[in-house]
Amino acid sequence: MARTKKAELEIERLLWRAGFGPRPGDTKRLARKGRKGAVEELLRPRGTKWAGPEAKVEGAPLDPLNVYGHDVLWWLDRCVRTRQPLAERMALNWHDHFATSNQKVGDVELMVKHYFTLRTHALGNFRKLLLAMLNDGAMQMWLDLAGSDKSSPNENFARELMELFTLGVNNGYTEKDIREAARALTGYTFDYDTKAFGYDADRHDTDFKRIFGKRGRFTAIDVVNMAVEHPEHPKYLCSKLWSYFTPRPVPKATLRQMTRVYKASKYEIKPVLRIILNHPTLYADLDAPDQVKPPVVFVAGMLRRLNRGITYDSWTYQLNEMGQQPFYPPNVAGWDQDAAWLSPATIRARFDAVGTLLRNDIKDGSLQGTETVDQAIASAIAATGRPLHTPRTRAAMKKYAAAAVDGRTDEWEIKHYFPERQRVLRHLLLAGPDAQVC
Amino acid sequence: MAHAPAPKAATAAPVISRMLVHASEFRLNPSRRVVPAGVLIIQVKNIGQDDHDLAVRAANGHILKVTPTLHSGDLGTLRLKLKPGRYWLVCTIPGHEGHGMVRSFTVKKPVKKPARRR
Ligand SMILES: [Cu+2]
Repeated sequence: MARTKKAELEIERLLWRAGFGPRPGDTKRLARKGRKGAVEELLRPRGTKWAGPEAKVEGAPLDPLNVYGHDVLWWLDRCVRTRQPLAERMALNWHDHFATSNQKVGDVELMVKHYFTLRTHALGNFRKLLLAMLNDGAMQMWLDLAGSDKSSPNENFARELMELFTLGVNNGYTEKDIREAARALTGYTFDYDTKAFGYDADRHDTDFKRIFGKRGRFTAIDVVNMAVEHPEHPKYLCSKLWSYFTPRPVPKATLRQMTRVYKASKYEIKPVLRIILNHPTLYADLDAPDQVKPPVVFVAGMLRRLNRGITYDSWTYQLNEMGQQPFYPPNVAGWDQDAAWLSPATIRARFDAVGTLLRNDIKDGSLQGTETVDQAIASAIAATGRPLHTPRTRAAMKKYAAAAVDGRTDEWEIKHYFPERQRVLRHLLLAGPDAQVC
Repeated sequence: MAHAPAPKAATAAPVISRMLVHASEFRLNPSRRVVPAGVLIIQVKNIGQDDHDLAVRAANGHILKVTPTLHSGDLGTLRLKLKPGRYWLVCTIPGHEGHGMVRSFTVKKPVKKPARRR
């Protein structure tokens, strides 16, 4: 029994870190496969079917291109309903890594294409992902690659390519490297009227450049390849990947192992993820989780667990108040992760969002005055999909559940306070301290 | 909507179309350039730094509707009933149209087949 329990806790941990938490039945099914088997299933997603109810707002399907805020719901819906949780989670992680915002792009169609670029290569090859980024319309606008001309090369893409995408701040390159790379990255064009992206050889700087100590008539593709082949790149990227799955520092030997595998596989992402997802660090202290769920994971995970879909559009502004709207990262460096997710304001926003979700679940007068404390707690746990909670939370719930109806014997009191107790218990399980971490 | 004296209109719900426009210096980027005749709800998001607004101008030059001035980050909404024809989205803040804040769109007779979903 204790062994089953541990196996399920491990799977639960894995599903939160490498996805958006379990849908009903996931944990038990994968626990039978064991940790390793579960990791392999996540790494080799099959089938494209969606689970759970389709998103609808006011009875109509989402219209992300034409209705403000539906873009955020559209991405959230994919996280809620995916049967390929690791690939979907990696798309969100890559969105943090490449941090392109519609705030500047101003074109949801381009942003949706950008999402598919991230999603297509989510578990693929990093070099290919980066080359796809080079040709991605939203990215070309975000970092001013489109329109960069040999007469005045724009340095934004070259700078972020080194600083954020491949090497890390001041890690193995100079300002001169950035300027020279920017020259190699000239020639991309964009026509606002026709929305056509193109390449104009006349606007490309064909002269010699010197980048990372090498000299040549380098092109944009050369620059991407040189950045990926730079000796500092594997360590940087593998550390970054590690950081998405655990707040704990990466052991030196593990980092060496990851960079070796990453280089040997010519920049494949999957083998690195396999090492991370099988690492004991990920499964440490199963009863004391230490990763803060990003807001999208918090919300999607709750809806998955409850087998609910998106039925209203408040999630868009609620995610904004929690500090994470897909398609709108705060700046080129993406979102601050881990503890930075939690502030009094964002915790309040998480709490309020759960309140909105539960708003109409239990009506006054729907519960009997004979319900005991244990029955009330058991009912709340079952209704919220049996979320993990600590003995401390359990004790607090017991204390509250007794006090909430103490002396409430009048008919109107029973009508109101017993359902109220149930609302509060469910709210606590879905939005309390235990629900914020995984 | 409810105010129509529906004699034989039990079948046809009014066509309501949506359009999202992003406004910035000095560009209007509509999510679509062709809409069916009927009610059109346009939302406009100011993603620029400066103030902007959004007006719909008919072929005869008349401004049909205009949002209030939108500060950076503001969202505005216009609701119009449009007949087939060519219309222009413009920012009416002096000088902005000349700088490029103008785009045309076309209103077409609605086709009888059900709207395609995406
Ligand atoms: Cu303007």
